[in-house]
Amino acid sequence: MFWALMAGSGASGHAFLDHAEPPVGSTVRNAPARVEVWFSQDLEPAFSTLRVLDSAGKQVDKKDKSVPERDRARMTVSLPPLAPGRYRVLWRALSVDTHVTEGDFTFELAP
Amino acid sequence: MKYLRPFALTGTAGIGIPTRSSSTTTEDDGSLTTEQHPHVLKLGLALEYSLPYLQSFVKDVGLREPFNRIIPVVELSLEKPIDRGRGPWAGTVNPGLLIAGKYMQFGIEAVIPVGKAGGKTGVVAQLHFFLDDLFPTTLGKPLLGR
Repeated sequence: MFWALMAGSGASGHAFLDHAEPPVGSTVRNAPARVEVWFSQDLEPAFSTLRVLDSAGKQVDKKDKSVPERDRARMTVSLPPLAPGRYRVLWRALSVDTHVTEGDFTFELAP
Repeated sequence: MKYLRPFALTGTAGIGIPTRSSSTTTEDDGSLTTEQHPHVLKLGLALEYSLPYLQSFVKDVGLREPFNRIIPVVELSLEKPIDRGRGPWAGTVNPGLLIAGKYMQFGIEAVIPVGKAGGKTGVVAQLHFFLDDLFPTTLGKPLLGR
């Protein structure tokens, strides 16, 4: 019972990043086809965003952010073939209970 | 350097102001005893390292439940009378852990006396329930608005 109440990251009804693929702060050898971010709460798709920027600050994702209907705690954006380098993922999440959170993390592509 | 980002340092400082500067009591033998109530300087510090922040914003180091919810913390609470007889610094150092979940937060700390006042080492624990998450449509519902 105790651990069941503790399950799920974050507190006070906010959607916090639980884990991501590529993982937060990771170095990957193969260019990812998409960035996926899992949150602690279901999201309101229309008001949640996910962007990927290169080291120059230019947005490089395909601007097709999606939140699957059957897994509304996950947000995805697809990517074109990326060049080696460091990328920044910026996310903004509006949880179903109307709280807004935002953040960012980086990953590096080093074949 | 990036592994320093999950550190957080917070502090408080203030003065405790008594409502009376002294109080006098009559002992059983009829003598009077006067106790001074000084102004008290109160200082507090808390140093935390947030593993949830590390995992979500700095680097996923592979921590999974429940370790990815742990926040090690060290708190320092000191006070010192600054007038009416003054006195030494006294307080406690409290190392411990917070575990932040979705519906509740648990914290436990050792309480270690510091300063000339002395005292015995103890322990303190807290359990917070987030009512707006446990009961979002009843107890956790806003009083005004939706």
